Amino acid sequence: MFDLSPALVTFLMFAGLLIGLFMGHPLAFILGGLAVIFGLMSWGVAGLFVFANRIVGIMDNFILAAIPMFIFMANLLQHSGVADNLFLSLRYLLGPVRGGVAMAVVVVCTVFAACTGVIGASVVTMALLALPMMLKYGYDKSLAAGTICAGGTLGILIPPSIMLVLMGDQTGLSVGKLFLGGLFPGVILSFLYLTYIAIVCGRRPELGPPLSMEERMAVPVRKRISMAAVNLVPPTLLIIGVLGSIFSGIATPTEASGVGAFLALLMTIAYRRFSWQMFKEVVLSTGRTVSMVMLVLVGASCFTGVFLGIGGGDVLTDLIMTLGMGNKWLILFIMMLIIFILGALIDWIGIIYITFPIFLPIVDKLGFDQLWFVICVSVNLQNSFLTPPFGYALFYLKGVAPPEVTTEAIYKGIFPFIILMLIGLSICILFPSWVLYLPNLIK
Amino acid sequence: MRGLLQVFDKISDWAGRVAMWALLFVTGIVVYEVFTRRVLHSPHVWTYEVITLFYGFHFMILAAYTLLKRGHVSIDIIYNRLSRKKQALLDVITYLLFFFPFMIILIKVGTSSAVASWATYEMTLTARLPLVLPAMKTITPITASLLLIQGFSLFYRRIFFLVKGEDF
Repeated sequence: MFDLSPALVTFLMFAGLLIGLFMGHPLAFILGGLAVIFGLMSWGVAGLFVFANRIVGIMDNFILAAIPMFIFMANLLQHSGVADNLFLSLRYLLGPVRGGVAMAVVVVCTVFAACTGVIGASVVTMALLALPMMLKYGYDKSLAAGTICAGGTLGILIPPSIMLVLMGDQTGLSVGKLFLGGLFPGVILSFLYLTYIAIVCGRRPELGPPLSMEERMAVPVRKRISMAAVNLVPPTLLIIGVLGSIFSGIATPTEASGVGAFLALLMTIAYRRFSWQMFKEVVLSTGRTVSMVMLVLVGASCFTGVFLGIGGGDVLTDLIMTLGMGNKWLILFIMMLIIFILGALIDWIGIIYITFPIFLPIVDKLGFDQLWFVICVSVNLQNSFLTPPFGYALFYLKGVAPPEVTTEAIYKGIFPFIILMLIGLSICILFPSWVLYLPNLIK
Repeated sequence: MRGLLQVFDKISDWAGRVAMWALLFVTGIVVYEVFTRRVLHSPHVWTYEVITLFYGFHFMILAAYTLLKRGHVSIDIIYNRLSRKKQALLDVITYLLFFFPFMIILIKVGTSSAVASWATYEMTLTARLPLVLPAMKTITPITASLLLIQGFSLFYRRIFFLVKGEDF
């Protein structure tokens, strides 16, 4: 075999990842292909049998089985119209305020985030429903696109969350505790987005004008409040059913995901949206999304197996420790910066698989709380959905947005929200006790 | 060749449309288990392992269908700006460099792990179920084979376009 130094292999593997990505090949197979190339170079075929065990380890995993069911639940909810009705009634309630429709988007996304564990459902629902409406009212295209991307991305931070499920699996921390930990940053980010929209549209009403007088007269205030309240009932029931059963310890996250999907199915029937055609399409599109997400897991697991096996972990650990000059806050900053930069290039699954085995021992050595660190990473990873070129929220929005919302307008729109996410991350880093308050309530 | 590639595409399509229903099976068993465990207070040990088997079957077998429908995420920021000829050339390179080696290795290591598991009649640790682990280990080589033929179908079309300058 070739006798390459671990430092060189580390460099080559990341360079290969970067080159492969920009060649437009699917992430899952680039990760797997690089694992094969560098595994063969270092160990020969005999060293690659570990792939079989790693892949079976992903299948034989009751915690990860929650991921498909949470995606299924979100896709069913997207077709049930729960979010549509809530948004339409909140639009009337908040419409008279400058930027009110954008605020309604953030509120609906926050509520929806507490029902679902993914971002696709919120981004797609809001892009189909709220984006044309905001454009019609004369909202700034960039503000509208940024709001939908950032608001929708809350879906994977506020519990339930498939990202926190994967982090629980990778760290051994309780998924229930992680879910409780995700609440505080989720609410903080939502609050920051609302404040930002209020300030920007308050100063420049042309970015987000209030509803016209005629439209306001159409629905009296009392009716607006009652409509919003009525439409809050179904999501509240879902939140109690899914999150309530997890937090009270009645159900594991996997069990809750199955029950949640079942409840969501009942809601499509209750809202009279159910048809066999729709149901078949949801099952098929869920399958495609699940396979896409899980195959990245398969590729990333092989990549990490080889990467760590050749000693790439030690190379990176040494590099981080040297650059950090023994200052634990500087080391934390470097780790967060690496995650932020990786967030633009690969997805959250790859980042968790590659960085966690390297970063968690460092975190333990520095004396930081692991749960707190993981929550801070999950806030940081919110950026990975927005930062181009690799951002799921961008992919989903571009897939359904009207053509006048150009890529440039979307990029311009997400920029302020990335700053807001970084402010939210700073708050979580500066006040660990606030982040850990809820998780520490349960044993 | 045309007929063969159409058969390859059909296989992925058919496998995906069968495997997609495993999701309902998994969800159904979870709901059933929650009901019997929490309401009737009679838990089963076997459900966990059956759930993981079908959850694995679901996402793995759907992988080739997802490839056919271009559902696997990639960065297209540069790719989309290139001419079709350059796109085809890039695809040919990346399939040869990353995709095919990965699939061939997965078939090789997956098959030997599956054969070993069937040979020893491996049972699950907690419920002592037979078949679950050997079946699960067989999923990997099957998935890789499905991906390999689907990948070949896409690859051949790219080569054809490069050589002949027209769509296959």
